[in-house]
Amino acid sequence: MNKGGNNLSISAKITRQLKVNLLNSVNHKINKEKALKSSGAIFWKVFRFSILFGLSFVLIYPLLYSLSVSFRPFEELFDPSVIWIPKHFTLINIKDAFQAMDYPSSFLRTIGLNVVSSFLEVASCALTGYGFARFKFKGKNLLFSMVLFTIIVPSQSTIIPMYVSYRYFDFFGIGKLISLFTGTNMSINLLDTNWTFYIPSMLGVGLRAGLFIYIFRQFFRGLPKELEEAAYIDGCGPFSTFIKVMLPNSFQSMLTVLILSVVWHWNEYYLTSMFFLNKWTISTALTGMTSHLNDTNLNPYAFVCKMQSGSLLAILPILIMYIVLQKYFTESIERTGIVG
Amino acid sequence: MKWWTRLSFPKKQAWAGRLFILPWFIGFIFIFCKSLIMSFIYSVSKITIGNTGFLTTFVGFKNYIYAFKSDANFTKVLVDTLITMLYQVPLILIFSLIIASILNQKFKGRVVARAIFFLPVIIATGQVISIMRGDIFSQQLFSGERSSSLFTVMGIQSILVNSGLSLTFANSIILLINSIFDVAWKSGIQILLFLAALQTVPRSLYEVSEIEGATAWEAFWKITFPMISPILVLNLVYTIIDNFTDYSNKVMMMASTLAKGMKYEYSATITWIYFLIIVIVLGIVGLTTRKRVFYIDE
Repeated sequence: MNKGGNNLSISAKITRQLKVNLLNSVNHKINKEKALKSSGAIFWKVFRFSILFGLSFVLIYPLLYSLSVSFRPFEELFDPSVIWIPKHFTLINIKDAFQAMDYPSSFLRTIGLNVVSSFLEVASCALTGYGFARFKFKGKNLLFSMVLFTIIVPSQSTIIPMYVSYRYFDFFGIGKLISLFTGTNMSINLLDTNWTFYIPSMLGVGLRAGLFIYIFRQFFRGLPKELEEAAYIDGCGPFSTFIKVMLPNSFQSMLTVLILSVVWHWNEYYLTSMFFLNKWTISTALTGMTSHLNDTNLNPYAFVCKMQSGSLLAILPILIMYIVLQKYFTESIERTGIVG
Repeated sequence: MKWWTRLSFPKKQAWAGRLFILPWFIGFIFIFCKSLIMSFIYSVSKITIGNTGFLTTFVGFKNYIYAFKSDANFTKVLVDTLITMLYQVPLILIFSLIIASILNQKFKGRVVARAIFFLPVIIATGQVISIMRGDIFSQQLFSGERSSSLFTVMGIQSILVNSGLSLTFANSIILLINSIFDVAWKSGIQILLFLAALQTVPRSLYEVSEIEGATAWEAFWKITFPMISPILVLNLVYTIIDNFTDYSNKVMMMASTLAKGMKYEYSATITWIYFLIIVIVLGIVGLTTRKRVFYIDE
């Protein structure tokens, strides 16, 4: 009995020992893997941080540089002892740039131009995008490929004829038709007016409108069909369905397109410099002030300081908007279904 | 309104659809197409400015022949632009894919990092960035003094050459370093698109592959890459177009300078040549990528 019991206990001991050994080795292995993994993770974290930090520096550097230069007197521009923070703080650059750009009136003009044409663009592109997303008619695919076609044509290709048609605007041929009968010249000059931007925005061929139509089409295609079917059964027509059912559901993508449109209109330089000959928007004021400053025979270093202040002033409103709407901007673009 | 009520539902829908796209259609025909065709007419004409618009007299393809045969400046700028694009487009795509994968992970300060990397979307489209970067001034006033304070490029070049590399190789490395700045600034939208694409890849796929013992590297090439390939193509096309139509692009700059100097015919010629090249390049891209893209619902 005793012997047997001993035997049993020995075998039990051995198995227990084995189990412990096994457990230990497994534990050891797991620990080792964990250690390996965590050291890899730490390495990755450091690597990731250094990449992000370095590149963030590259991206923020111009802003910081501009900020630093704007507030220093021009004598300190190449003073090696001044790196970022100027020794003597001055507002003269900002003030001069403010005046040379004719800032208040350029600012108001840009805001007016910007807001109205962005809203028009959102409206026309949403309508067109919805039309392409949800209705079947002959030639739809061909027409949609024409939308994509408008994206790839550089605006430089169409700008001179557009300039001419705004200079002698005849309401898409209607004016010409009337003048055939009456003999009077019906064309009017639209240059230097905001209509040069409103008209194309209204008709869905404004600034990067092709891209916006594409975004809206992708977005509306992603919405469930049941939404409209329910509305149709309740007796809504296609248009009231769009207004009452689809629009409230597409707030996010509307906002995205609106923000992008505002930003791109704000930065637009090429078209404004062609269509606005005697008036400035913010972006043309920035290059326009060069000639103003050159007139006054400035020291080249002072010129640099003032130009940097000018660009800071030009970017400031849009930067503030970006900071305020940052969350919408980055989160909503991901969810508008551009990718869908 | 009687004929409307008699229409069948699909027909009604078709008319509604046409009505929805009508504003765009008017704009497309009367503004876009008209301008594009007019610009072609200008490029083969001689323009005299009349009372009610430009008067054109047909002169044939003289301007086109001049652009290629006599205008040495144009061909040089054109080739330069195309070569720059050839190396910049792949760099932008790779760069933005890497950054998007990093920004897609969870870590502290992700919101700030995203905000910074999308900054180019806000600024890079405007005049401002070229002034801030001091491009204009570094050419006119200090001949590169500014950029050398950012990346001490000349120093690197001498190190590379002294360590036994050939000058051309050293120069191409310098070119790469210089382009990091450009590339980082041109990748805003691309990062955004990639990030959106990465978030649509279902997590379960990665979980399965991890259980099956796939490494992260394999998972990237076998799962992520095929899943985002449609967006990769979209990004490729967008990057090409963006590079082509960018206002800081040399050919486009040439066209606008000519237009402002009243040389409308030649400006139109240049943009048309350029536009045809875009169509050809995009056609090649479309043909080569068509079969290789993976769509999940097919």
